[in-house]
Amino acid sequence: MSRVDQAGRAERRLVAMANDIADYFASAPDRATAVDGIVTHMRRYWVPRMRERICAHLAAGGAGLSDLARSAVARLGAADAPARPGDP
Amino acid sequence: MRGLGEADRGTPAARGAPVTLQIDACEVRVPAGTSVLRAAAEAGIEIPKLCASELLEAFGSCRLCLVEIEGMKGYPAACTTPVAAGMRVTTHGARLERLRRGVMELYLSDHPLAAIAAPAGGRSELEAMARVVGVQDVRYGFAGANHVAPLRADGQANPLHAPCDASNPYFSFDPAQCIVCSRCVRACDDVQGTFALTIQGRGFASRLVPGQDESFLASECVSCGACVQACPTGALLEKSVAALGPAERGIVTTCAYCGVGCSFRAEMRGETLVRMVPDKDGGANHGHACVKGRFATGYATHPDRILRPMVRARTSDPWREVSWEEAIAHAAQRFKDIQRRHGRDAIGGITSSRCTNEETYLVQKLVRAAFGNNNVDTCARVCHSPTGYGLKNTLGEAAGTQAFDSVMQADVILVIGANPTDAHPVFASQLKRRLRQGAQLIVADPRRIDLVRSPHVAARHHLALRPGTNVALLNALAHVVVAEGLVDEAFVAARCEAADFARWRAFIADPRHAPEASAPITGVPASEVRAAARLYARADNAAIYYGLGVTEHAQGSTAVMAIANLAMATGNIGRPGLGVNPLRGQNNVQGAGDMGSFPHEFSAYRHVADDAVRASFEQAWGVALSPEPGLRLPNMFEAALDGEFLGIYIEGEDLAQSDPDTQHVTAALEAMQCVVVHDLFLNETARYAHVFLPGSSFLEKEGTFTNSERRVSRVRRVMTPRNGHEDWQVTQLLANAMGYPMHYASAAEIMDEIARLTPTFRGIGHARLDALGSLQWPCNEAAPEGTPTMHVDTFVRGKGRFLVTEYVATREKVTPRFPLILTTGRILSQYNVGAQTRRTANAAWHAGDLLEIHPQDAEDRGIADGDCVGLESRVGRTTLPARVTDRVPPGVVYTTFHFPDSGANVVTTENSDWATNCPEYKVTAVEVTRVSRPSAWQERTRRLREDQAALLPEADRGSAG
Repeated sequence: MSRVDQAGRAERRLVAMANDIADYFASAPDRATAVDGIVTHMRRYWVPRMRERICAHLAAGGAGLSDLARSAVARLGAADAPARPGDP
Repeated sequence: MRGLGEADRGTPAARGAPVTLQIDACEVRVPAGTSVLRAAAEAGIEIPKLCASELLEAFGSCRLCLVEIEGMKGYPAACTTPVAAGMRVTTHGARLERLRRGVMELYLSDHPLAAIAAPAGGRSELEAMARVVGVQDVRYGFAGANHVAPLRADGQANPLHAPCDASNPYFSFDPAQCIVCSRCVRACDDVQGTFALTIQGRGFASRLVPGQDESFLASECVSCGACVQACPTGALLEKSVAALGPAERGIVTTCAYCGVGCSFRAEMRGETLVRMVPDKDGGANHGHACVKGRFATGYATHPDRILRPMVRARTSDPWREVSWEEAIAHAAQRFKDIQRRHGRDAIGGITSSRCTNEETYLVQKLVRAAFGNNNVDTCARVCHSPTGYGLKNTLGEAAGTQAFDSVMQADVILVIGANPTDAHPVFASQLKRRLRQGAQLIVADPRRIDLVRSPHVAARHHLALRPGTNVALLNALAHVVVAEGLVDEAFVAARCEAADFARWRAFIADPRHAPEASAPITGVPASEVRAAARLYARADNAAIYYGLGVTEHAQGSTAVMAIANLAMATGNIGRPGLGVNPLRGQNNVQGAGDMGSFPHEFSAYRHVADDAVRASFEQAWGVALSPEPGLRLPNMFEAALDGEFLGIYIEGEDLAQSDPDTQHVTAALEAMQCVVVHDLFLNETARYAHVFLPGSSFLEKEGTFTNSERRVSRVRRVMTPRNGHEDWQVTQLLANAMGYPMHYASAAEIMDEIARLTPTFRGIGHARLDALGSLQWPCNEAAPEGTPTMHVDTFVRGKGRFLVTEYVATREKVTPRFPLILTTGRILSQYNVGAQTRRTANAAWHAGDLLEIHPQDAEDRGIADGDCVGLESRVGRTTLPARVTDRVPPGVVYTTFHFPDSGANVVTTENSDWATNCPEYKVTAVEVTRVSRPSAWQERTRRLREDQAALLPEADRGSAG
């Protein structure tokens, strides 16, 4: 696999993972709680490099991200800080 | 033959109120329901016996344990006579001795002592009893009808004689030695629950037959060995005992196969393992075992073991055997070089669910403290990580709620996504025992697993759902509970978060979750779902058991939460007989998680961002630790292909066979600059390795395993490590070479550190385990004897938390090009990637992976049973033989992944659980076609395997595979 193919693949995986997380939190009572849940989840379980890359992907247009995932990644990028213990 | 040094009190323990009676000169106090035989044994009075064993209910056939009881006529059998208050029993005296001698003479007339003594090497109970009873001569002679001689006195063939059956690879049955005591039959029925053995014929013509008068191997016998252990004469005998002679010493240790964690006595002659005998006092197995744990230990001494460290610069170079010092220095230097050039985060490590807690703990410590990052993960990632996530967030602890023994108090048992008779056989035997006592069973599984219908066990409901629809089914079950007023309102009000429950109730009550609405998704008729939900919810005690059929899905974590919701809504948490019970795949999956193998967690599931927890580790380890989560296994592969993750230390896992999308995994391994494989064998992953560090088997090291019921049990060194080091010592060498000092003198010292740093392990240490046998965590000041049942008065998180579990269909969809769903699983005789079991005689039962396909799907494709078929998904293609069977429903195909060549994981995809990235092994859209030649991947891999074998030092050639 060439480096270019891989870069594409890696982005697609990150987008798919972000969308999967968003699908779960979509049933939160309101959008703010859903976004909060997704952001917290990414901070707790994604290495900083993965968070950086998904934010960069959004900055480059965010192709493939679901609407809710897009909102969450925007929030993640706005204030990414180390994860904190607490709710998922 | 019973375990070395094990006493046998004749009948099982009873639990009644104490009763006092007189036996000979002794006053004895025992629980009501105890037999006279056992009461005497507890008072130190040995009554001769042959057909009785404390692992079996009394049978009363051998007539050797006859006693006299005041006020009772004749000579009752002590084994079948229960004690009574004030009873006066005489166990010895001239009359009794004469009677016993008479009985024994009859036995010996058909089994001359000279013939019975030999095979069991002096440990035949018949021989011992003949001595105890004091038979001098046999008045009947030996010339009459008998089972021993192949020919009669007149030279004709003896119709009563049958030759020895040596068909089973591990034990033989010599009918000439058999006294027809039925211990074997009862062990097969009552202990194992397979009902493979029968006494055929009447009177003197009675004989033991497996199956329909077949050989042991051809019959339905599952080779658990319970019959062999029960046999008092050596008629059923381990071939290893016959070959090596009886053992000299026995050491109690813990099995290294599945998550049941059976306790065994390893019986040794010097450095040689003679046999494994399940320990009667084992908390998880109570003296029972399966074909893997009891028999499949030969891999430990298999010639394929690599015993000397090896290094090479490139993976195309020949391996070079080197000293431990050189191998370790080489690995450390490469790792340090990578970190200098590519940053601290460019390397990581994998802990193993097969290794001990101490070893696992040390590997994650190596990564966090010596590598200086949190890039540590474990194979628990790819099996039960959703269990940790789902249960932690609902109940508050990332573990099952019960002990295995709890099942004996369950009234309704829901088994979902688990196949215990194949994957957790010793627990399955206990489960079947409870079902035979009358508990009801619900099975939710796409396949008709054995539990659905087997001798004296039948599921009330088999919910044969489509793979990938667990959450829809669980929601439908919960909908019925809520809609039909079956919620345990008092429990929920007292024990659970009110707001979360209200939200969940509103969610689940929605008509879209009704069984009628979800039937088109799950394929399960609504009436069956409703009936199953009512059965579960109305039971006094209802227990859920689940396995990887729940976790290894895109919604694995959601399904675990749905299971917890269901149990909480019906009040089925917090006492014996119920609960949420994950069945762990490997021996130490629970322990791997407990020890802090996940990249975001320290031991006991505490997040690395928790300042107080991190500070405690920083202080103990003397280094600064990162508050950011590290890479998970699949993330490591992606990062490797991105050129950002270049070095890995892999202890005891075969990523190239066990992880999904094999070609992606091997591409990632190829992209790395330093792959260090620490394993028993040159496994598939080792083809991509630069450093090979030989591992030690569970028989060669000290430590502990933690099973599915949180039971921490000792693993003991019964032989010297053939590779020279226990695995924790190797990790320690590597840490020191990396510049981070470790100076543990023993595995016990490592456990002491774990206990100091882990609140739920505070009361656990090797000395306490040696004294108490085993301990279930949490074990600390609050629970010094451990915790068999969790969440008793309150949940670990305080109040139980209902979480909304919306069903989201997997993106892996059937299409005209890939119209079938592939799901994967395990078979009884083989284990995981097969590295151990393939190197034993277990191949007699399963010599290769097969693709199960429904007759309709087979016919549509012109496939006959045994045909070679191609299995193709959007990521890869392999070939394997087909087995046409209606165990799988139409539209679903199934295989195992025990053999590297069949390449099930070449086909599985990168899809994973949304929360944990646990791979979606259980759902892959595929097409199956008849083919005549192996796939390109198989041909390439075979060539590669041959090329790699040629790179081994001469002495080790033939080891790759």
